Amino acid sequence: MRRFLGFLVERKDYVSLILAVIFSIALISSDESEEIRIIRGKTNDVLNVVYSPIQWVRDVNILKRENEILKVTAVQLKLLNSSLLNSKYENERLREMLEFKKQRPLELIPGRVVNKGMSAVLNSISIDIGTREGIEENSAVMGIDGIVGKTVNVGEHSSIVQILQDYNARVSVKLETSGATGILRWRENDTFEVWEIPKAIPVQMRERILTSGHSDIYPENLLVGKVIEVIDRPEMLHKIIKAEAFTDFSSIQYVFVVKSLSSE
Amino acid sequence: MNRNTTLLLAGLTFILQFYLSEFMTIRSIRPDFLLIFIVYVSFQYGSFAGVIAGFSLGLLEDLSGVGSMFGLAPLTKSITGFLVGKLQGQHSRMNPLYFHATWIGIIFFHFVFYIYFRFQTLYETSSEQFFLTWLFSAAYTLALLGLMQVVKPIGEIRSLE
Repeated sequence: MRRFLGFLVERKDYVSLILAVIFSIALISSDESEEIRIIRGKTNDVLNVVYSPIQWVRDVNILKRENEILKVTAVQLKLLNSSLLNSKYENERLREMLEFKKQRPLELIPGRVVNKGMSAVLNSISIDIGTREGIEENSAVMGIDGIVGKTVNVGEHSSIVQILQDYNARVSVKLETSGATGILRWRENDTFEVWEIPKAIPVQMRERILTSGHSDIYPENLLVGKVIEVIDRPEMLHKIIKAEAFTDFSSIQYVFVVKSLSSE
Repeated sequence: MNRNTTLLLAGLTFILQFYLSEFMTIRSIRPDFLLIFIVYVSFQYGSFAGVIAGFSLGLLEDLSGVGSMFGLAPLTKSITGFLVGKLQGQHSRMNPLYFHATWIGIIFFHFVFYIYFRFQTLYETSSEQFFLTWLFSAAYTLALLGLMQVVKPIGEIRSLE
C-alpha cells in the first residue's frame, strides 16, 4: 500500500491530469444535470455582482450615444406608429370578418446584459434577471432588432443566454415571402446559414427571415435576419441561404425574455 | 515568486480576463489571459501545478458563463498545463528553437482541440472556416504572450519545483 501511495505521489502530475480529464469529461456529460445548473446559476449571480462596476462605467459611456439613437428612433417610431395604427384598425376589421382567433401578445420581461462570459469565443451573455422575475430555462431571448438566443441556465437573480453566435445554437426559421422553413445556425462574424431550403423555393435578396414557430422555445414570426446570399449548386439537394442577423451581438445591452411558451 | 504571489496573480488574471475580454473581442474571438497565466505557472512549477491551475481556472471560466459544452475549458487547459509543465527546466537543455517551437505548438494544439469541440461539425462543414477560427484565436493569445516576453521572457523563468 505504501509503495502504491509512494508511486501516486511520485507520479502526481500524471495522476492529477487523469483526474482532471475524468472530472472534465464528467462535467461535459452532465451539463444538463440539476446540480450543475444550480452551481452555475449561483456562481453567475455572484459574478454579476463582481462585474457591476464595469457595467456602471460602460453604462455611463454609452448613455449619451444611446440617448441620441433613441431620439432618432423615437421620431421614426412616431411616424411608423401612425401608419401602423391605420393598419391595425384595418387588420382588426379583416380579422373579425375572417373570424380569426385573436393572438395573445407575447409577455416580455426586460433585462440588462451584465457580462459576456470569459471564454475565448463569444457564445453566451449573462443577464440580470432570473427565477425571481419568472424566467425559465429554454426561454427565447429577443433584442430590439430581433432574436438573440435562449436561456440555458437560470439563477435567482441572473441567467445565462446561449446566443445565436454559439455554433451549437439552432433555430427553426422561415422565409417571410414563401414561408419555406429551414434550420439556422451561426457561420462567421455576423453571418448565419439557413439549411434545408427546398431548391424550388424562390428566394429574394434582403428577404426577411423569421422564426417558424415549429419550436417549444421560439414563438412564431420573431425577426431573425435578412438574406444576403443564396447558395444553390447542382450537386446540392437543398439551397443554403446566407443571412445577416438583425441583432448586433457585439453591442447588445438590453434584452427581452419571452415568457416560456410552455408556461402559458 | 512564492505561492501566495502566484495565487494573487491567478486572481488578478481572472479579474483581467473577466473585465477586459469583452472590450478586446475581435470577430467574436477573445484573448485568453488565463491560458497565458497557466503557461507561466507550468513553466515555473511544473506539470502538477499546471494541471491544477488549468483545471481550476478553466472551471471558473466555464462557470462565468458558457453557452454549451460546460467542462471543455478545464479539460483543454489542464492538458495544456500538463504538457507545458513537461518543458519545465528544458530551456537550457534543449535547442532554443525546438524549445520555443514546442510550447508554441502546445498552444496551437490547445486551440485546435478547443475550437474543434466548441464548434462541433464546423470542421466537416467548412474546414477553411475552422482553420481561420483556430489560427486567429491561437494567434491572438500568442500575440499577447509575445508581448509578455518583454516583461518576463519564458526562457528566463526559473523552475521552482
